[in-house]
Amino acid sequence: MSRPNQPPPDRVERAAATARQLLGDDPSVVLIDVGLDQSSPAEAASPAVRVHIRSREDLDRLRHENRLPAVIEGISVIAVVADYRLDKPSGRGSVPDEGELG
Amino acid sequence: VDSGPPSTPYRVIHGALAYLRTPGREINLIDVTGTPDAPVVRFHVERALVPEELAERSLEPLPDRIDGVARKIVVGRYRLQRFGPPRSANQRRVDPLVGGVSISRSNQVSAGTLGGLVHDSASGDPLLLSNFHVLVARWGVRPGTQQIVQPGRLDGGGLGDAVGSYLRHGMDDHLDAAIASVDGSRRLVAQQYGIGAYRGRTEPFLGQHVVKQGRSTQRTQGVVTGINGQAVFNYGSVRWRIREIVSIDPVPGSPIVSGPGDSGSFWLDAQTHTAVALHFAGSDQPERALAIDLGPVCEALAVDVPA
Repeated sequence: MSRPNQPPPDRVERAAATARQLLGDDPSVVLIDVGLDQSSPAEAASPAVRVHIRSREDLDRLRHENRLPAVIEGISVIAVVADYRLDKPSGRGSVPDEGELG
Repeated sequence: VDSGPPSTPYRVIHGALAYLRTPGREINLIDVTGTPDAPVVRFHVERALVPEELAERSLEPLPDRIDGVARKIVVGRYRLQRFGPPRSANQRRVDPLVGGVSISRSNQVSAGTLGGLVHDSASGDPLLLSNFHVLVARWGVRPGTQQIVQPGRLDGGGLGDAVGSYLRHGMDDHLDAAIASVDGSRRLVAQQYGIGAYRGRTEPFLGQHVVKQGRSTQRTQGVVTGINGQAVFNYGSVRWRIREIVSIDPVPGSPIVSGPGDSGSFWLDAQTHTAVALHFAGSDQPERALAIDLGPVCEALAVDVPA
């Protein structure tokens, strides 16, 4: 994953850990991981910390509260609006009329 | 008014009902066959119990005659034939067992996906790997007390389709993964249904193209867009942190990457077919699959993917 002029993986992981400390307790933050900053051309894409937030309203609130840094340790922080659940029937796709899908 | 003795079928069924209600006998249906002169009462059972199982359950063998009528035991499993879409091939019983097919615990009508064959790191014994919420689901279940069936019960599987029993899970290490022992009733091979053989394990990386076979959405392909993730999910009433999450988006032009019932699938590197991650969650908007890096899963459960 690491290419010339790209941050070393341990610094990216430190930035992700810092993001978890800052935001991990907020119930609207559903996932924090490391992805690619897609705002730049693919060939220049670099690792970024992604903060997955449950809704647009929660994202606006976190920004309003100034809790969402743009950069941590020189690593970009990207906000992603998404919600996740175990791949069970609660709202995902078509579900049989009884039972549970794992 | 004395209507006389009940007819033979009625009398036999009435006499046999006590066995139908006995816990542990796994009797699905009792009926009468034969001729009016030589009736036979039939017990349709999930499977024929061997003497040792009867002894474990403190049960006597069924008597040879019920109220003077001969008795016969047949294997018969029945379900309501609901109107619905035809089942995919990987939602049916398969032999030998391969990854990517329907599986569930025996005590709940549910269906997830069998990830595949792994080996115990110490003993080399073959084991089944899937999610905690597929094979176990409840906290505090003791090893060996929960049978695993293929296909899953939602797909018509029953106790006669048992392939093993729950052994241990990775939730203490914040990994939604569990393994089951195999009972030897079916052969187990390191293949994915509709994909082919998988060999060994590789770490996920950003941009990696992956493929999986799942119980519900079948074979889909995706691209790894996130690694080293952590998130919290509800397991029953317990909110539990899951780590080592890999995010997988659909390949361009593909509308779907995963769905309910795919939990437990192995994501494989699309080129090498080495195992990468264990599917467990997802979202519709945006369409995205979440899986768990198989490296920490194998370490926590002390298992290896066949090389």
